Parts: sequence; structure tokens; C-alpha cells
Amino acid sequence: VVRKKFLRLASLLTVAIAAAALVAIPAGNAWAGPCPLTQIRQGTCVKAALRGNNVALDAQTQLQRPGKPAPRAPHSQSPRPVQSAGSSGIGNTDDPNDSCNALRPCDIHVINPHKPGKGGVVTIADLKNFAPHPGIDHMEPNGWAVIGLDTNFYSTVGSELEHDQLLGKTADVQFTPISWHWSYGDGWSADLATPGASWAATGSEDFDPTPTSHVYLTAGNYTIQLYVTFSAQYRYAGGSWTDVIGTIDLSANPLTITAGSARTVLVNHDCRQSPSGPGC
Amino acid sequence: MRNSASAVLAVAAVAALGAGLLFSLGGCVQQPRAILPTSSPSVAPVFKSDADALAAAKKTYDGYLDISDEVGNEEGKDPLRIASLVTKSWLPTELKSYAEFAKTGQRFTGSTTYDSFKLQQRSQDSAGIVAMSVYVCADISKTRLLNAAGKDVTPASRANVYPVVVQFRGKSAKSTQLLVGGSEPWSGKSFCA
Repeated sequence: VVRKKFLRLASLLTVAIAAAALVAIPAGNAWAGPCPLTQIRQGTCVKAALRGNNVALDAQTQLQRPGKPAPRAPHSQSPRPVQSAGSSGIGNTDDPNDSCNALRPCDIHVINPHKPGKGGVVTIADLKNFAPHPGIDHMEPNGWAVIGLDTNFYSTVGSELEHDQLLGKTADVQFTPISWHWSYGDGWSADLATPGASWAATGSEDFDPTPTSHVYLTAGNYTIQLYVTFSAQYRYAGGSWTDVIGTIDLSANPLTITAGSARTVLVNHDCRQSPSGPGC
Repeated sequence: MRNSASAVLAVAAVAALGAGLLFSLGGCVQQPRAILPTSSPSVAPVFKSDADALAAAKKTYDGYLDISDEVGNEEGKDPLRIASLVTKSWLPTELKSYAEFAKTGQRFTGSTTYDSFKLQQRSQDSAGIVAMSVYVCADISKTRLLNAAGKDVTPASRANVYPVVVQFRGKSAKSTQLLVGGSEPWSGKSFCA
């Protein structure tokens, strides 16, 4: 009976694994991002994907490769051939702003040469990477904390718009910080939806609690680490904005802090002027 | 006890075989490939064959191209006419692209065709709703982009043929009418001629 049960389990496991295998086969290496026909016809359809901490944009096009010139009949007055989009655009474009073509490639790699040296269609692709900047994180007081009182942490990072040229057209990527993960070094951490702000900027008094402040309970030296999560959108050649699937986590500058206790004493003079004075 | 031990070994062997299958299948994804249809035993297959399913998808896509061309040729006016051919989740993407296009005052001429229509995968859920992905080579070489003054402003860097993967979804449970549910550019080696 036990053996039958195990064999049944084995059969089910096999089916499950086979099903998982079918599901696990990626639907190919298609990139993220929709591409309606309107964008395709406008020539604004590019592919976007996250690669590490970069957003990679990829565009492809086709150009006519120069071949042996066709013999021309003497005294022929044939009209200039009508330009067909992408098929005969070598150094001769409909768009005067389009500075990128087969004669002046802009960081292009040929991916599908066809009949090299004999003319034909060449597919060219251009790839550009965009990355956000994590900004800078701050703390108040700077470098020290009083045990039992709030230390204010905040990040100065905002939305970022980056531009580059992709096949002679402008590609834009917009990065937006959406969450802040603080690791305070004392075993506590927080996921916050706000970058926070200085006490002065929020009209608070020193040591007031803020949405991003933290209280240290034990004396010691701590290292604080901030990870900022970004979402991204892209557009190409002035087309519509499209979300990039996924998010980017970036580490900001680490902070170090010394937490200690504090007490109030009455002194006769400033302790810097009279270090050995009463109370100093 | 010995039976139990041998049964455990059998389970482990089968699991290892399955894992090997998973690994080997997962590593071979460079070329477009069709995935065998998976059907629930409780619901009869909506389509009897891949050919039937592809024919239904083609019918939908032909209508989708016609209307999409119409809207584009009329400066993006009345884009809701595409609604009957796309899923509710894909409709906002279509409308957004038309709205952005309408802002430019531009319009298209000509019509879009395709020269390849190959099945990538086909499945249906337990309710009998079909889901399909199809490799399409969208040919836009006959379309031109005109500005408000009627001047041809078609980007010279625009390709003639775009390899895209188009998703289709059954209109309802057990329905053979398919709707366009998405379209994504293909990034690997082009499957278009």
C-alpha cells in the first residue's frame, strides 16, 4: 500500500514537474513593453528591458546596402526614385533631423547583413543603457545620535529624466523613486514611501519625530544603509510614455553614526574655552 | 520497510528526471517554438487543432488591422471602434497610442499587412477561455506618415517589417471568437524574412 502511494505521488510529481517545465519555457526573449500598431507605423516602437540597474532600450531598422550600380540607359531622364521608408535611406532621409544612417552610424551594430558587398537589406540595431542616480542620504544630527531621542534621516533624490540618441531619434527614460528602504545598523529597518525632509524644511524642532526618523536604544557606532527603489518609463521619438516592467534598487551613500547618552549640566564658561572648568 | 525505501528511491529518480527535463527545456529558447496545447480534461478543447485556432486568430487580426488603419488614416478619430476586437485590458493601451497620435495632427496613409503568422503557444484555462501567442511579421512598408499639411514625414529610420508577438484571448468561455490582448516587439533573431 505504501509503495502504491509513493508511486502515485511519483506520478503526480512527474506531471507537476513536466507542467512546470512547460510553463517555465519563456515565451521567447521578447522584451517588455507593449507596441501598438500606431507606434510601429510612427517608427516609435522600441524594446525596453531591465538589465541589472540599467534600463536598456533597443531599436532596429533596415537599410538598403549599396550594391553594384545598375547600368543606366544613355540620356535617360528617369525621375528620382520615391523613397521607401527604411529601404533606401542611405544618407538620404525624409527627416532632416535624422542624422543616423548607414553612412553615419551612431553606435550601431549590424545584426543581419544580407548579401554583403552585393547590395540587399541590412538590419541594424542600436542599444542604449540608462541608469538612475540614487541621490544622497542625510541625517540630523550629523554623525551622532542621542539614545532615546529621534534621529532624522532623509534622502535628497527626485525624478530624473535622461535622454540619448537611438538610431538618430531621441530616447527618453524617466526614473521615479518610489520607496526607500533604510537599514539603521542596529537591527532595525524600515520601508518607507517618502524620502523624508530635514527638520528645518518641515518646520519641526530638533529631535522631533518625523516619518523617517529613528530612535537608537543602545550606545554604539552604527552604519546606516539606504536602498532606493525606482520605477521607470520610456518613450522614443516623442511617442507616448510606456512603463518598464520591474523596478531598480540602488544603494545610496552609507552613513556612520555614534549613538550615546546626553545629560544637561550647568557650566561656568564655554567648555571649549575652559575644558577643565566646572561641569566640563 | 525495504519497499518503502525503494519507493522513496523511485520518487527521487522520477523527480531528478523531471528536474532534468525542466533544465533541458529551459535552456533551449533561442528559436521560436510552438508549445503543445494544454487542455483541462474537464472542458473540451475549444479548437480542434492549431490550424483552426490560427484561422480564428487571423480573422481577428485582419479585422484589427483594418480598423487600426482606418483610425490612423482618420487622424486617430473615433478610436473606440477598435474596442470590439481587443480585450478590456489591452484597450487602454490602444486608446492611449491613438490619443498621443491625434495630438500631433498627423495621419497615416496606406494599409498594414503581414507576411508571417506562426503559432508560438496555445492554451485554454479550466473555464474554456483560450489564450494564444502568435509570431507576426507586421509589414508597414505600404503605410506613410503625413503631417497636418500633408507632407510625408515618415521617419527614415523606420523599419519596413516588424517582428512582433501578438497575444489573443477568447472573448468568453468556450468562445471561438478571439480578441487581441497585446502586442510586443520581438528582440531575438528576427523570424521575419
